[in-house]
Amino acid sequence: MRFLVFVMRRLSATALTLAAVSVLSFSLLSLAPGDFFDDMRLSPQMSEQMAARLKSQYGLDRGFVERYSAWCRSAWKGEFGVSMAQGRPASEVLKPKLKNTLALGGLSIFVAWLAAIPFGFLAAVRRGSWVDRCVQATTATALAFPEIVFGTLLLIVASKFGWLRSDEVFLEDASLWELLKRMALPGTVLAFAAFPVIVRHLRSALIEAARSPFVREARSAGIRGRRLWVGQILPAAANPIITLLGLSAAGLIGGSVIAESLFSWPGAGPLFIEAITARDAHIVLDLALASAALLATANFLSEICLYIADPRLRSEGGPRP
Amino acid sequence: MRWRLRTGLPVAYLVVLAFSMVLAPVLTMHSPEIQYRVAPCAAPSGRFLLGTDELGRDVWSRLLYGGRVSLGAGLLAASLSVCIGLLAGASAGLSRGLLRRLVLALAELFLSVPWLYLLLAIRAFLPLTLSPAQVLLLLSTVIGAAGWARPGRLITQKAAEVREREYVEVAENLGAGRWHLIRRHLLPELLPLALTQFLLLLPGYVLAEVTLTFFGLGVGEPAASWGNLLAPLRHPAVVGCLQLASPLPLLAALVLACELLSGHGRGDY
Repeated sequence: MRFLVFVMRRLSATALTLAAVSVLSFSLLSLAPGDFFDDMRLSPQMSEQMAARLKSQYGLDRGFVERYSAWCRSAWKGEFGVSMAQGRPASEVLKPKLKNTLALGGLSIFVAWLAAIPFGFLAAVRRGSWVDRCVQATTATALAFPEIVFGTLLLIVASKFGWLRSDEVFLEDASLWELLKRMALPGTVLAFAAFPVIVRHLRSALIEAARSPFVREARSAGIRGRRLWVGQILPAAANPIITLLGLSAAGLIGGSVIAESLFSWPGAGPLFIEAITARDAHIVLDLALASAALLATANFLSEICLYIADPRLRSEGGPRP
Repeated sequence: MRWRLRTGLPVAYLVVLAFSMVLAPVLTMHSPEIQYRVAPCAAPSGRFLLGTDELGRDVWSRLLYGGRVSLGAGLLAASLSVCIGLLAGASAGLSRGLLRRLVLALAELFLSVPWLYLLLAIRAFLPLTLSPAQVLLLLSTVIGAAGWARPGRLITQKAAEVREREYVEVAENLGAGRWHLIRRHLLPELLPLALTQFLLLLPGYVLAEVTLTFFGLGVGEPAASWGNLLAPLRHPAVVGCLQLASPLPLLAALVLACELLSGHGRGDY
């Protein structure tokens, strides 16, 4: 019962945040000078009347409240507005792109964690040794290569060796192996950016837990090695690790704009940049909203995991943020 | 010895970087915008220290003048973020009621959209074509305003904690005004935090400028910026022009230097 209350409270907070984000970005966008059809006016084939007619057809000549409620109605229908650049409901444009972004992000987060866990563990268990110092130096160096730097370097290397492919058209019916090959480069950029952060947090979370009195107690009782680290310390370090899982998702969503655009992965990132330059207002709004929703979902899931993993949150006083 | 290397090296790097940007007109032989069409993508030589780009412009001078824009935008934006953070944080920390909740809720809202998406979404509503000086100011404002939430929230929390201390309580009961409380009791505690935040934000903001310009949403050609310098590398035909990648090592070193200075690189567990 208490769990249900907790879930409901989190969900309503998320819904409120998303509503605020949508109102704010909508008002920002309507403050913007010019709209999609103003750019179209630059072409000689577009007459003044034609532009005006299209504007009224898409409702751009109406007031702010009216436009916002129109968008809300279409969001309720599941269409989330209209892509003016493509003349289709926004959901049709967004769905395949978001799916691709999720696939890429999911894969890279998985790879990053898989690679980071042994390093984080090793550094924590052998704290202060040369292994630890090597891991520390590696993560510090890796941190100095954020997405845009590492991505550009990888782009140069990839085109030198002819690894670049742009067979976007066949993505729909590509085999799994083809897809993986296509994801390798942008996925590497994302995983590389997430990797050092995860190693560092993992290491410090484990060391923090290893310092608690109960571990000293367990040590003196003769528990050591794997039984100590996996059986005693890991569960105690679960909280920050689970929180980190949500956090690393956030980093990935942001970084995906860079990685996807660099390696022309047909995801949400390139679409976002395209929509901004074309002033395709609803797409910009929907993508900002979608990224916020993804972030909220990641946080929500990690909070649920925390709630399940940590009995302290379930007892006195209810969950703490 | 250790201490000296850890702080001395990054400081030296930042100083050299700053000086070469400031002294760009002295250190370069060619204007960053003149195109020597006879020598596109020329290799480094005595005439062109780092070679030329795909339009025959001197990369060395574009690197320095571009650094002015990229680093300048980063500095401006980071100062703006920290200033907003200090202002909002100090006043929100001082008030126990509505204002604090408002600031924290606003910060929460800003943090609920992933950083780059937030930046792009705010960029989306601004005009696309502007003069370089306008763009520089606008970009720094956008980046600085988009990123205020993280330092803002931290400073608010710290200010709220300091505010509950006894000496602040005593000073208040003795009749100290808001301004006095902020200046004498809050700021001395908040400034070191603000400085660390500044150092942490700076590389990210420089990268933000580079990213926006890289994707054509920042400083426009022919003005130089590190993002502009890198952008042609996306075209397969230009990729042999390796000198265009020259901002990359500088950026990596900048991130490393700021991290060492802010104390985050210290693995002191």
